[in-house]
Amino acid sequence: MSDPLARFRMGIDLGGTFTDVVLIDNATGEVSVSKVLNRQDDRAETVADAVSGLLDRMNVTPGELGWISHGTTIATNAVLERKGAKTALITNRNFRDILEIGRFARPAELIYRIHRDKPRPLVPRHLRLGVACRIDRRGEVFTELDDSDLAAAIATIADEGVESVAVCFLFSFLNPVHEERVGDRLRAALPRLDIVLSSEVLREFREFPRTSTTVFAAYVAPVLRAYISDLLARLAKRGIACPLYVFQSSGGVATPEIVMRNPALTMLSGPAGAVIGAAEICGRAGYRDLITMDIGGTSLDTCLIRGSVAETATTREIDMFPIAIPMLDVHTIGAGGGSVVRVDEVGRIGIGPESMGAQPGPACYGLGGDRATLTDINLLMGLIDPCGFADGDVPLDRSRAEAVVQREVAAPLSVDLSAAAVGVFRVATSQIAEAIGTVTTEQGSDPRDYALVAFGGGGPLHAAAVARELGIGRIIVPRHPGLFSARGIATADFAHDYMQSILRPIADTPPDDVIAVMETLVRRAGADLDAEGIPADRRELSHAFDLRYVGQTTEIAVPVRDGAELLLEGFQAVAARFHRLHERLYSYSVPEEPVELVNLRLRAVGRVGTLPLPAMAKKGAVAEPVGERAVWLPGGGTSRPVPVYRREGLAPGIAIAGPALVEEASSTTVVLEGMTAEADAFGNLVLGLDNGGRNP
Amino acid sequence: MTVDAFSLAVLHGSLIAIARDMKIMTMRTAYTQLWKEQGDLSCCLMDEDGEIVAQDPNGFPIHVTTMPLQLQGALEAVGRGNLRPGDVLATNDPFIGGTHLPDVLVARPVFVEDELCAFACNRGHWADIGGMGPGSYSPATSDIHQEGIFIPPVKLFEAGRPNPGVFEMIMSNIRNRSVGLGDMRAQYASCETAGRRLAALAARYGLGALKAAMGEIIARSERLTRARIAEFPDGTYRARDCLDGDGRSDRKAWVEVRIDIRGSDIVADLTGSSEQSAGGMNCSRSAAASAVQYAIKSISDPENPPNAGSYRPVAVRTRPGTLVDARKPASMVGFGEVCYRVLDATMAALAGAVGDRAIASGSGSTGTVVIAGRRREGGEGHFTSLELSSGAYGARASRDGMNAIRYGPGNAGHVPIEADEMENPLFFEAYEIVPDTGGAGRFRGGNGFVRAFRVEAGGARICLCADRHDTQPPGLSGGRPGAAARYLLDPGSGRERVLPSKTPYIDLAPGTLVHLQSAGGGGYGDPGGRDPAHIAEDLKDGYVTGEGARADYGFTGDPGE
Repeated sequence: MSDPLARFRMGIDLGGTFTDVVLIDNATGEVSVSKVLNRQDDRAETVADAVSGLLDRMNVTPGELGWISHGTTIATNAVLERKGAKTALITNRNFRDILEIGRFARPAELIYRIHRDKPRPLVPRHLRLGVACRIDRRGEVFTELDDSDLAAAIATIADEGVESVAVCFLFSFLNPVHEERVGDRLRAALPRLDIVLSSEVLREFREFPRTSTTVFAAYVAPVLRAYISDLLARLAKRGIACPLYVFQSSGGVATPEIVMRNPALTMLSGPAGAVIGAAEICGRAGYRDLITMDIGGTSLDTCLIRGSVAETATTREIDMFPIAIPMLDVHTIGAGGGSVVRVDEVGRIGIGPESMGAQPGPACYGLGGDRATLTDINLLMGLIDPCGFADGDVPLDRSRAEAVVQREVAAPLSVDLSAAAVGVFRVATSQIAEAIGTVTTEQGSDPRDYALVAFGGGGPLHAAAVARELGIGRIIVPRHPGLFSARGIATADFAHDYMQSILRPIADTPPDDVIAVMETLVRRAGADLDAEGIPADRRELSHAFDLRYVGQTTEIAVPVRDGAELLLEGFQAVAARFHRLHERLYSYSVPEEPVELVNLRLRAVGRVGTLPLPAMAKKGAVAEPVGERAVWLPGGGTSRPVPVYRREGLAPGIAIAGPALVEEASSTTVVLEGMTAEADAFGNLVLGLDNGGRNP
Repeated sequence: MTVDAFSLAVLHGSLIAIARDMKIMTMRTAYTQLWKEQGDLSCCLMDEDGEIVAQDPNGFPIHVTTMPLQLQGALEAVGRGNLRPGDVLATNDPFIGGTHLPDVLVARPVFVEDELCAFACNRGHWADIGGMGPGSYSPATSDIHQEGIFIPPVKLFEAGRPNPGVFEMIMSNIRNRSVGLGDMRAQYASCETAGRRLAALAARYGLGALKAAMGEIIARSERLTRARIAEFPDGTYRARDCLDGDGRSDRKAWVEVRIDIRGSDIVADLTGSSEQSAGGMNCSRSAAASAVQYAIKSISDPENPPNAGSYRPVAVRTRPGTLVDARKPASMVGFGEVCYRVLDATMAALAGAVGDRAIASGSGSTGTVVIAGRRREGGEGHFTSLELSSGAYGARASRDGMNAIRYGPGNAGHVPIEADEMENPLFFEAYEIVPDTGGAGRFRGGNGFVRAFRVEAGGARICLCADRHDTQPPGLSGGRPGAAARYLLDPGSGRERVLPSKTPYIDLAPGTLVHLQSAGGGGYGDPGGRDPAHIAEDLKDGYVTGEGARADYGFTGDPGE
């Protein structure tokens, strides 16, 4: 691990358009920030410049910087833009189309759209190479690896100029011997290639998601590797030599060496930084049960946090292909500021997922956008200050918003502009609330027991209405809502996940066998944490069993203690916890049915050390509005004057009553009638509303 | 009562989300591979009259659009006035509008303050419903009673209490009681949750507003569909297509379609189709209509969520006693095959009206294969595995057909090989796309695939209920037909045996290799017009062989680089 005595740490969030960098003083928690526009041709240079620029500005020498944690969408974008490496896939002979056939069923979007295709696999068929060999369902070798097949595959790979190879054989999660032999031969023959084995990426049954995940990893490996080494070289050139850690979809960081074993680990990390940031900052202020609501230009991301721990998931899809990696359970819907609002020929309103993005953006940007967007609606309602958007950098043109909303929404519905704007806002509120409601109820929870954390440019605009819709009693708008993700990345701990499929009824599984596997996982974790130099007192290991009723297909992760305590507690007690969780999630349980132990999981965490949150000084006794604006409030129809406050002007302990708008550089918080807003000692803006006393 | 456009958008979104979550919840808690891995079930919300308001976007058209008539029939049988809050209905009666006996409809009437406002419906394909053989899929069934247990419309729950006699009656007549119970629990639990959410919507927005919105959702879809149909040229368009045989004889059975387009109305007349078959190749009027509706929805308005309004402009005429409107006691086991042919013929007829929007025939069968028998040494009881061995898209006017993928109104997937081998005594030897099976054309039909496995346990049996084994999926606009399906036992050995597409249960010796090869999709346009670069690329990727490229396109060039 990096120098624990170093004074500073840094977090970087490299997004599609902007890079955010935060420098944090480990002793005071003081945060300095920098936001730069990406150079699309050279992202490493953008980041290196931003890092050294911020150090210079803050008069920090490279030697004072302990470490940099870096979140990047490089890998994801390589897939979406199909700009990854030329990749080959080695599979069992006669099974090379598993990647193309997938689940065989059509994705829902294609059922009626008979002219639309599934996206093409990342590996074309002539680079999907079959090699005779077979492991059976017990993990035993049924057919030996055919060396001449392998030699032919290697020759093709060399001839075709392949840069990266994925290897995935049937049942390799039980016995990786053939994959390992192929890996060794490939490395010996073609040492410059990236080689990714499915057994190193995902030790789990179901060949299609495992193949797909392995292919993702191989496809992005050369791109990510080149980017990291490029970045390290450019940082070194600027005298910056501290360790660089990579932020993963699981919400933890790892050294580049560990991430490069499975580069797919970064692929859904985009929204995770902000979730980690929310859990940390709100946790400090005493809010541990949270729903995040991150609204940017194109989407809403939402995640449930219980007891300061974000819910996790194991599978998602990218471009209709499955990716199975440890990840935060972030749900995304296409409702952001740039989402297009339209009315179809029979008068039905739709919002998103089509988005105008940042270019040309909403009509009010005046950059040529000619569709109505949510941002245009918010501007018309008076919720956004046309002169203060993005700190005044983007002046907004109200007349363009009026014209486009009149033409695209109000006229087709034969309603006036205010009814159109307030109505669309209501539909957006409902869509967002539906998505947030789903993430909570899916976990068997009630949204009313949670606080809503709103950030991103649009989160604080919509939070009040969404909270009211869901009966949520408290909203938290943290400081720097626009830089939340980079800060979250900087505070992330080291995290590694290990798993092994077991697939046996728990009653027939000798505890000693289970404990032996758990110990293997613990040893693997120990080796990784050793390599990262994490001291023993900063390590935390947590075990879980993935359990299901024998015959079911979806598992529930049930936390268990370590080996010795597990023996003491007994599997019966674990099964009992499973029945209770099943009851909560699916509204029934069947305690008399046998329970299957599907996987053992281990999460190893290396704590990087928490940051103090600087306390806010009490500046004044009364909060004074800086002005007033005419607003069509959600739920209302007529325009009324609403006081406008500056966020910086709100001292802790002074409550203001809604309706009000609280403005800051990157966002506006809407406070509705009947709600109060007040800054807490940690700089959060906390909104309260009556929800029948259920508030946590 | 009217509903404003904004409330309508809010309620429409919520109703679709409820239907979507029903299927997700059922798959998560189900026991049978057919649901948990293959997703062979569908959900929807209907209004108080039994009309579809919101379909699960992942639902299968053939399941969903057959539910209204079956539910309406069930309501008639049970008596609307006898419905009480907490009731749950079940039926698998094909003759009132269902599909075949394994598809069981579970429907929960939703009451708000004692007023009926909607139904939450879940139709799932049960892994076994009793009858002649495990998996209940013999094409040789000559009447419905051989197919399995016939569940007339019954109350599974009365006022919130399970009806133990009904449960016991059903479970005593199927082969795997614990799977059946687990699955049925998953079905009605999803209806229960949906019912609660619907009631919450009614409480929040008012029952009047909810009902008005449901009416408006249907009315607006109808308006939109009519506007699209009105763009099609008026006229009469005909096509016919056939099935290999009926499971008892090899005589071709014909589906004849006459489409009349007049303004915004379409009449699909199927009355010229063959008489109902003595075997299982029959379907209900409702199932045939569902295939017609799928074809028209996918060429008129594929973008918008479907509901009853999407189907109202389409009238389907059938003649009782034909294979598309079979009467009691006909077996309906192969309804899926008949529906595929109705789809193919409808699409071919519509091509005359809609030109480029129509597509060539896909592989044209469910390709259903049931393997059943004893578990492996040491395992208890029996296994049943249901393979869907047919899938390929027909070519489109501007692109090739997709390879090895489900087509048409059904959409069940495959069991992962690793899951299948761990659960069942099967050992896979191939799962791969088969070159040259897609029909040649300016755009090539999708290639079919092969799934080949050995059956390792003793006492195993196999049955097939499929089609396109003799007839080939036709091409369109000069495109060639796709290759026919091939079903073999022990190919290449002295014991090789070709199985007809309708094969009643036959015994399999341990170690038998079962080779299931799908038909390919039809091509689109004259093969002479195919871009040589596409041929070269296909050759390089092995989607066509050198021999195929020569024979179909006269191509002798190099594979693409």
